[in-house]
Amino acid sequence: MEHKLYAVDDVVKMIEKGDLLALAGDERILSRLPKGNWIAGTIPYFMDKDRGKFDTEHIFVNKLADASDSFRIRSFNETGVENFLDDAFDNGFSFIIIPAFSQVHKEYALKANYLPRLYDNPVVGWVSGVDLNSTDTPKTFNGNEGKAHEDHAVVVHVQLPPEKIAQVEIVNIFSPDENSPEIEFFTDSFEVINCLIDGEEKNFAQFLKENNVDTKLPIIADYTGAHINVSIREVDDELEMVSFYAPVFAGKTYRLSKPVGNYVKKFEVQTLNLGDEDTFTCNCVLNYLYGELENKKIPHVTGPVTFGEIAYKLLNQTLVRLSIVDLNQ
Amino acid sequence: MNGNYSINRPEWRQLLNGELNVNLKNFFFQMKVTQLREMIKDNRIPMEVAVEELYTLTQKFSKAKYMDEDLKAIFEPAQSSSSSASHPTETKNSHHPMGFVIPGQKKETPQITPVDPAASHSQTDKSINKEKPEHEDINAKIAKIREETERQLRMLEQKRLELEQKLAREGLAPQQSTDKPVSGISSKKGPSATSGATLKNTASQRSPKKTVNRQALAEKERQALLRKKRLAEQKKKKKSFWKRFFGW
Repeated sequence: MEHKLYAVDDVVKMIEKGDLLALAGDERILSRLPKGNWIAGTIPYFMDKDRGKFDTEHIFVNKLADASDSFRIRSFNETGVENFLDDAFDNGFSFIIIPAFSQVHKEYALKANYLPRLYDNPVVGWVSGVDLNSTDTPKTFNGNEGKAHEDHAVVVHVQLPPEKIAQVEIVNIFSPDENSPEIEFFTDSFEVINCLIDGEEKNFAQFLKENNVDTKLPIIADYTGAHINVSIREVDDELEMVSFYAPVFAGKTYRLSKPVGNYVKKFEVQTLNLGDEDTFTCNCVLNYLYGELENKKIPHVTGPVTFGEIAYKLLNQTLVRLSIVDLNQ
Repeated sequence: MNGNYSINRPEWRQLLNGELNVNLKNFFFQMKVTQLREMIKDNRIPMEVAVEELYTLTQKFSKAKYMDEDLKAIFEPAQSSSSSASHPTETKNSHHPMGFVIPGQKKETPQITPVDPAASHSQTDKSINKEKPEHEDINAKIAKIREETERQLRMLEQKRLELEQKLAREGLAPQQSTDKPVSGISSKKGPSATSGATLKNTASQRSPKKTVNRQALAEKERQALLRKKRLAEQKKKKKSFWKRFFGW
């Protein structure tokens, strides 16, 4: 089954077949779907088969498993973050959708990395969002219950047979600037006031302003070779406070990012060896906006354009991809 | 892949204590190593348990993209520089199809002691009996590792309390000792407050730049954030009041 935008009637037929589906679309259209084996999040931005597009009439579909496979659909709020993997299978993956700016979003971002079972199997998903020109609220849907939530994440744990494993990859077109100072923060937080710049205490908002830092670029931390972005949401000059789309962590060293130039070309180069065989891919709305990806095509990349990407932990400005590996091949 | 990646190889420990700095490529491996390094640094997991957990999960995901390359980057330079006599028994162990050595019960290297010899044994049995799904053994092993971790953490916590009591009796109570417990592996507390002391120590040891009291700075930052968030909230309320009543 192709991963792309489908008309509502087609999605209804797929739901009736019983397959496990991950859906993305506008709230009004998702509300029309019947109960079934699906989870969904709200978003009107997509990388479709042919190009990046804004669409409130169609639904993006990723088939996660056949009707005959074993899976468990669950919803949880911020109090359930610590235990959300309790129902996961020994071998498989967990696919999660979290509503943006909710308490569960915040809790997940701050706590996920400390969950003991987080890395036993891939945990992949995205943060639901809204049309940036609307007053809508990001939502998630649990298809089993036929309910929409503003404050609950939905997760489906999928079992894989012993001869298969799930794997997660990321594509980050940003890289740390070797001339950047080392930036360290004091607490795990979505907002910061002060930080250490090359070991010296400074106000981070002032530092960004004084150095004309392009706030469309993320700050980047190194996780044993993985570049993990944290994107700047707002610099409040009056309060001298900076907020982010994901938390920064105490004890990590961050660097400013090198400028990217042409986003499409960067993605084209970095997604060359991904292949077409994905189960799910998503990309960040900031890449879509800053890289002007509307009406542009990136080979091998289709999926919702999201308010945050999840590859175990919450990521920003990153493409996330889930695929299944057959151990016998 | 013909590597020999026995759990007894010192590189596992070196990778986790940061002695061995390899830029890994597999995303799971990168994130798991980072998580374990942080947990070891914060005394939230003993090194032996971390090695066991990493080894077991790496075995599970050994066919994932870039894993082969990563393992080679970790083990092959060491393999070429060290003689095969340094791991004499490893050649006798059963080999995982992906180059892992299924550890035997006899431990040759004292620094890494597999948590549960029975689990190791069942792993060996599994490699003989190919009909048994590989993941059953691996997941059973992971569960055992967790149980053992929790047991060891309880012991560590007990030791910490005893030490604190001893210090208190001698009038040498550690500064803000309650702020840095040896929390369990299941503890969800991040390193924000708790890693302060550790960070302070490591930073002051490693960085010649300047000594900063990170714990104090973290507390100052938390207080400042509370104040500023209150101000931001007031600002927002004010804005929506004018907007509601006057449209601006």
